[in-house]
Amino acid sequence: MEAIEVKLSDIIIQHPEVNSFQQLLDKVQAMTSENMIFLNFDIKPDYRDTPRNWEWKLEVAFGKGGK
Amino acid sequence: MQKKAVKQRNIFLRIRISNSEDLAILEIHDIRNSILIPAGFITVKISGDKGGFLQDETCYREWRKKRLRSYPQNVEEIRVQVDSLLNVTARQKAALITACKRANMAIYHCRNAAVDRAAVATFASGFGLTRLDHHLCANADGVSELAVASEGVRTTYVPYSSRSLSWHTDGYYNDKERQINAVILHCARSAATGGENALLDPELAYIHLRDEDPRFITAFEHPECMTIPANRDALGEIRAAVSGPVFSYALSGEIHMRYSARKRNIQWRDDALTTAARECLTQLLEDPNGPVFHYRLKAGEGLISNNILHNRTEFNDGPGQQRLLYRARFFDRIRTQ
Repeated sequence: MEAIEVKLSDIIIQHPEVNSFQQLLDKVQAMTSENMIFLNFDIKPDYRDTPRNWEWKLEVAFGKGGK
Repeated sequence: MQKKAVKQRNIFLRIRISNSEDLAILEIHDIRNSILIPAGFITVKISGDKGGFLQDETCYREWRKKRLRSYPQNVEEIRVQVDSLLNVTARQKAALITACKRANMAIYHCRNAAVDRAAVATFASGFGLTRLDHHLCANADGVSELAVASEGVRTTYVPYSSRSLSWHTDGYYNDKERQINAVILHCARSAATGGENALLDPELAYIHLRDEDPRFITAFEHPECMTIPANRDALGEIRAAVSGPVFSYALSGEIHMRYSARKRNIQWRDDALTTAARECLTQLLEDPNGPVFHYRLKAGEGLISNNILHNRTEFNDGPGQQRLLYRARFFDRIRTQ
């Protein structure tokens, strides 16, 4: 299985419609691929509603996605 | 701290790298069952004094490949529009940080051109830049106003004139304890003509020198490589003489460069390799086909950088168009995580 790396910064920059952390969670959860995905938390998503445990929440959303 | 999550059957592999400990902690994290399984510890070599991973040729080659691959091809790739310095969105901030990761600099264009010194400081704090260098010519808030000075102590310093500035990094005359790691230059008003900056990421200079001859790096790491004589006025000594290397390293491996191309009031180590390294660097900085960016900041634009190499062409103010730049220098580096 081929592995692809997705940077969190790329998701944020390439999706101007994402304006909140909740919307980012939805976007991450919606990610699908036939390949294994590496999600690289290369930056902190600095939305007004970004919680302190943002990494945990993103990991959970990432894990739930693509089912 | 860097971290990667690997999606495969809801199992996450976490790698935490701490800047303050010589340990990388490996964790296996089962999200579905909320179980954290400590898998073990890996000892990693972190050496701030010697450049850490740069000492290892294999690690250096890998780092070099990534740096050159991600380095912008032109200055447009590091330009970012922001609405206001007081309200940078998550997307704009991500774009600025990404540019800084690629080139150690970003140029922002602020749609709301009404910016004062306080706004520059607020903007900076969003990137972890809070410890300002309150130097001799700075205002009380630590932010300097670079404009042609007609009176006072500023008239004796070239940055406060319309003359050209040779290649340098900011605060090259500071000692290690007051090392400048990041700089913001915000253009409130541009000159009628001139005032263009040339810009180069010091990591590109490092790579070029090491490619040419690794001994150039050793020469530039010498603790007495570059000495700036004491700064004195009629009343006595303002600053003692400062000696130090050109290249030094943060604990987390980032390269810091201390450099000035000025000819007077500077003493270079009298050594053949140091002389050759300086000549090599000069050739790179003057190479019209090299990696140097050229940019003239317009009103409302600014440069945020990890204290990159830069110069300035001379400029001419016109009626009602006196060049004014706000400059803030920090002991912090731009926070990228």
